[in-house]
Amino acid sequence: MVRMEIKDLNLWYGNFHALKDINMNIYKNKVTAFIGPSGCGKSTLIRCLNRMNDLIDTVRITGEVTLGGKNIYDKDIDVVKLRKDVGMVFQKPNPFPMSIHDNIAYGPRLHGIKDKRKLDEVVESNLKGAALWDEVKDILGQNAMSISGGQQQRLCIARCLAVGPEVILFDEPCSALDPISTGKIEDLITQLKRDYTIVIVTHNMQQAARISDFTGYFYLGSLMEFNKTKKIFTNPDNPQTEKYITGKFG
Amino acid sequence: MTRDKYIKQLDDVRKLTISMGNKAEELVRDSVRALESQDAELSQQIIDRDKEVDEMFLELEAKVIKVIATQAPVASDLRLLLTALKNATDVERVGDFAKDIAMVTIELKDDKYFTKLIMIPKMAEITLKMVREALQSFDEGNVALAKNVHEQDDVVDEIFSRLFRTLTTFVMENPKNISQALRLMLVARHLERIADHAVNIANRTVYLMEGEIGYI
Amino acid sequence: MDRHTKDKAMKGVLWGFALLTIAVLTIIIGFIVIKGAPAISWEFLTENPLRSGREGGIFPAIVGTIYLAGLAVLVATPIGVGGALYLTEFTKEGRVTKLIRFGADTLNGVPSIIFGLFGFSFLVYYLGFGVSILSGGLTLAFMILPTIFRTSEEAIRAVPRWDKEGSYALGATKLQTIWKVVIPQSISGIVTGIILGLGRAAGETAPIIFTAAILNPIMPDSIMQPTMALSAHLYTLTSEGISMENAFGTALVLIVMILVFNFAVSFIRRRKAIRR
Repeated sequence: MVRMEIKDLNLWYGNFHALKDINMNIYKNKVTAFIGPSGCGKSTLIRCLNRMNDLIDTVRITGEVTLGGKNIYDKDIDVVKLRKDVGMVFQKPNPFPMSIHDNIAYGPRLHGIKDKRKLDEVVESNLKGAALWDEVKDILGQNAMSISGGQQQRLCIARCLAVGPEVILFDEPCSALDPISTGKIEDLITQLKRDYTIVIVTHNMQQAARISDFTGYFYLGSLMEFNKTKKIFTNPDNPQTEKYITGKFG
Repeated sequence: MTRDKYIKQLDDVRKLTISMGNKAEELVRDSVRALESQDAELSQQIIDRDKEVDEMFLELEAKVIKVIATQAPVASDLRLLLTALKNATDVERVGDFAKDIAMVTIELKDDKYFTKLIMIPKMAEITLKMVREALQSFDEGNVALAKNVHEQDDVVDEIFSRLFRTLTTFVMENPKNISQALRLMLVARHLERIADHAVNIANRTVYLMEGEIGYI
Repeated sequence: MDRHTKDKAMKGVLWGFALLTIAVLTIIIGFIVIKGAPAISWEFLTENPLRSGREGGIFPAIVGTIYLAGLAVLVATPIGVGGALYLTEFTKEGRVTKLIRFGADTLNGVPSIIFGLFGFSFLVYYLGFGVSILSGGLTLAFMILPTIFRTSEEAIRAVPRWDKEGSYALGATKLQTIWKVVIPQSISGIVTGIILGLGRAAGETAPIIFTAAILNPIMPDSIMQPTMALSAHLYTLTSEGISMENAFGTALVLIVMILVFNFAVSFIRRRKAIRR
């Protein structure tokens, strides 16, 4: 079942044509991976899905991105609500310099929840949802910058879950982490897809192969191939895709 | 080019498979020749030389495992490695059959053949051609050649049936021929099995090139 | 000379300079403390000056300085911080922003006497506020505005982009992000700017001499009235040769006030940091 659709999407940074005629579907409760060499546009594309590119002045977009059938670039869309529905976890873990508890509570507080007990519940359930509760349940008041990188990233995931999204975007979530933390987050993503729709940008092909159901290969702003991950990694249609995934690029 | 070492590793696996196949092919050719000329000494050599084929198999298996474990091959590279490994299994069996034919020669060394061997060499000729072409199709990725090998298998089966009937006649004419006849039947059976292995190798080439699993 | 010796020599020279800096600071403060301490007494701090300051205390001057500096900070802070927020969060980096920054830096370098002159002709005469706390406070506010503006701007710009992105990605509006992420993270720098401004406002003589300060020890009861101030009083005591001892005493009080304020703010900030 299709959750989001990207139709004829083009994006320019000033005069630079960064995304060219992108057409693809994002399927519900599946993990879709974007792979491709540096500068191919995969990060740019994922940031279109929650309109984070709006924060950059020189960006111009044509085409549509729909969520549940409605184009998110329509004039009457509330961007604030969109970002509640489509959450994002970034490459470098970016917890706020406040306590672990306040980090998770940040989102719910933004959207009006003030009751202390309710907030505590939200904090606990989302830390559990991000497989971090056991490790931090006794230090919730401690500053979030004091925990390890891998834990910080799971904290950011919990923070994202706390606003109740239906789609979660991961922009190279493990590139700053060690292999063990990476493994934990990959396991978490595999669990999360039962309840959320997930899109992940990664430059680690084995990671894409391990955890995704669908993979899109991008090159110089174009979508070269989009297919089930199993097909891409055993017998891709496009010889360019094959060259990239076997590392014979360049 | 990127991943030079890896590309060389893949190439080494392919070359080793071909080399192993060539050696096994030689063994079959020599074993049939020895059978025709009742050369027990050559046959003994063949039995020893089969060990080389077995060793090459172990070497190939180790190489394939190493590349898979260290280089994370995907797509056509992965199919190449798996195909090579499975082909090596077939080739190793071919070598064993050559050894079995050589053993028959040794067992029959003091007997006189009750007939000139015609059909067995004919079977061997076609079978050897099939093996050579199957290996070639793997080396070159030649799907048309692979499909051709498949068709020749019918001819081999046909000769096999004829041989069965001929030998049966000989036994009925003179029951004392039975021991020789049974052994010659075994040789024919070995050649027929070698042809089947050649067909396996050929089918796998189709998988390698087209990526669809559908071979037997 | 080989490399290691050069290294050691350089280390020695730099150490010497550091020592010199501390020495200068210590000497100045020490000098003031030694010369001013004899003048300090409870009466000095709580009573009005008598006989033009030869005797008595400096209480009105203390109060006056507090009023003037307080008004200056009260006016300059919202304008400076607000302007800095606008420049960093609501405008694109370009020629206009560079121009504004350049203007602020230039204003910072304008001699304080010129502010005094401006205050005198514009506030005292043209707008008719007369010599008053209002005139003096506003003049000081103009003077410290660039400092607060630039320090705040640097602090706000130093807030990392990914913290703001993280906030937006959670569905925050611009206002919420500024209030909950940008300001808390830059508050340190902003407060530093305010303290710097306060120090200057409390200590400058030239801007207030024409606009607010008088010699008569009256306690002002409205901002339209003039007032005494520590810096002006010190100037008068010295230039008119009234009492060097009292001058040093006044100086000491001024320095101590500023130091105490600095410590108080640091203390509050550290306590807030721990509680978070």
